[in-house]
Amino acid sequence: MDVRYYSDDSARMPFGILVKSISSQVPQPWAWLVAAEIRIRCMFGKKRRPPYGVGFPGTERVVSPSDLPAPAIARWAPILEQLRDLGFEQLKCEIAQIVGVKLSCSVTLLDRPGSTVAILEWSRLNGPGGMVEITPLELDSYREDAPDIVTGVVRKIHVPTAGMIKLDSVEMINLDNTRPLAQRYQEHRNRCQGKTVKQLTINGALEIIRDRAQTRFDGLLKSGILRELNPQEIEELRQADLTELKNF
Amino acid sequence: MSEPAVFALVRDGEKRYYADRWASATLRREVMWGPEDFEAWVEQFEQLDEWEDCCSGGAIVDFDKRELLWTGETLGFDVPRIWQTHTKLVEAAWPNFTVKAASKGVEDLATYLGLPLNEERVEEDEDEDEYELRPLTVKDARRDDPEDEDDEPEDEDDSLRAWVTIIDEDGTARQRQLSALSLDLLKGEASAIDAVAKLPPDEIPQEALVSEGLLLNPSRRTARIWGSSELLTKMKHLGKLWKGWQLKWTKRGYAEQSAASGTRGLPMSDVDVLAKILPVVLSTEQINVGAFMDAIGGGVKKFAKKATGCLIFVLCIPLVLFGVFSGNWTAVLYSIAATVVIIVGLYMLIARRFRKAVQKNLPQTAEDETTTVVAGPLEEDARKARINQLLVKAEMPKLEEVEPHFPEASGLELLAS
Repeated sequence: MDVRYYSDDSARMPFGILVKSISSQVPQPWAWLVAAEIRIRCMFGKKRRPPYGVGFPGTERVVSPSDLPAPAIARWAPILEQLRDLGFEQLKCEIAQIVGVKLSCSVTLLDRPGSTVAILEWSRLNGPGGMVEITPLELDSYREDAPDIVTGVVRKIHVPTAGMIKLDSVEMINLDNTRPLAQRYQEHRNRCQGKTVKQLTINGALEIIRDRAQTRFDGLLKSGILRELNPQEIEELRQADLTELKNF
Repeated sequence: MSEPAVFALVRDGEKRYYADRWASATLRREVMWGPEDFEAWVEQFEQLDEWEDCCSGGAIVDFDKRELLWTGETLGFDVPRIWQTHTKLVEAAWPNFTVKAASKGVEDLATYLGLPLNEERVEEDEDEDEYELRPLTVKDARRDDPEDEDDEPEDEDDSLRAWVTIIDEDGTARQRQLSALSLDLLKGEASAIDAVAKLPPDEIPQEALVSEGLLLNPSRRTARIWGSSELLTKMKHLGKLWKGWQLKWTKRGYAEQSAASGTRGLPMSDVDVLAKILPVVLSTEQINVGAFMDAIGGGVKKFAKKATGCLIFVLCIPLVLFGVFSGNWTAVLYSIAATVVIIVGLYMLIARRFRKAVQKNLPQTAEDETTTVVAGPLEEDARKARINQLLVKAEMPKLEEVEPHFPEASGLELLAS
């Protein structure tokens, strides 16, 4: 099966989100200038070369925990310990299908009541001063015929970004990760109070999680925030120098 | 301000003593060049009639018993893997010699020579015992600020730390980090083990950032500890306090602790380790008052140059604005040129006067110091060739593989920071 790759579309992305996404790679004042330059170039039909492309949902490779990159295990250690203490059980580990300068993998867990799914990611990509590693966490509670309740637990600097992307299928807020996870989990549960959320089982959860990931992906594609990369772009990304990316 | 070292060369039963005011700071570099070069290096120092132990470092080369015992500044070598590799290289450079690091410092050197310790030094050491450098409790050793809940860890925190792993009954691991293993933890106090378990969870650190580690399995009452030779010496006493525990010292601490955590961790490669050691070994810079003054002077000069540049820039802004509004760019260019000439001239005048004033007030000792040379060849290419031979002998990656990973700092900076 040929993998199609996707990247954010800077031409369609709201200017604020574009600035935020660039500011993770260059200092803030320059991010405004770069964003403005990108926007002007897009107006003349010249698109920015994306740094990487991500495969569509379902192309991820399920792996055993021992096959995960060592830096991911190292970074996840404090988060996984807290999730374990909160009663979360591991469902799967997977490595994302990516072309270009980014590595990404995730672990999916389910809490004991079966009402909250935790998706913990690790990504390594280009940042302002070289390679950076980020470990965003997402707490998801799924609902029938209503938007899912999603609580992101991310670094303080990434908190404002998430609120900017609006999708019909999710009600999302972002919280910073400086507080204990138990507190953030409680805040997520408070958001679910009074709403009927799906109760998942260890055996049935994965299918629903996959289905929701596809729905969100389709939503992003429809809104234009994501776009499919053309074969030339993919070929260019295949030629990218990955030495620093894999140097850990 | 000095790093004194004392030396004893023993040959055919005859002992010759030497001392130098700065040699302790560079000893880790000089021992890497083998017995002949090391002897030649020591012989350039002032010869003493008798052993003198008021020093921070020193070495004994016993050519009769073929032993090297040394102690000196180990800045930059606090990561156990770096220290172990350095030791391996020194052993390769001293074939048929037994190489030992003196864990108790100069005291060990005096003991080797069968000399009584200087009374003043014994008193000093007793005072040092009372003044403990390690944090006393787990609370003192915390790396985060418990008062600041919103505190976000820094991305580029490359300070050395102690890594503690606690294995739960079900085999899962809890990771903690401390600035250093605290004294109460080293004594195996139950309250300290509880306190460390209650600390906020932390990441698995890179090997390059870990100076010591402790792997605890409270349900099995087993513990593994690893770190510097100073810690090993300490644990020979404190280990006895771990009643009911099976406590073991381990040399492969990082690898064992990572394996117990279900990962290979983020170990240093041979190239990473050598890139920390070899720039120091290949350097030929000396540490003395003159070198310090040069380094400080260089910093001041750099700052002054930047300040002058900024001043010129600021003064030129109104001139450019004048040009924009009046359109008289010829006058603006002449004005800018004149401003640059005046400011640069003033800078050079002040710099000359400052240099003269500093030289006049320099302590006599700095000028009177005799110049010494480093051990081993002085030419860069010859030093590299010798080190390459050593690396081959020690079965380590070659210099050309390591050199691209050298830090940008100068030899002097690496020796002193």
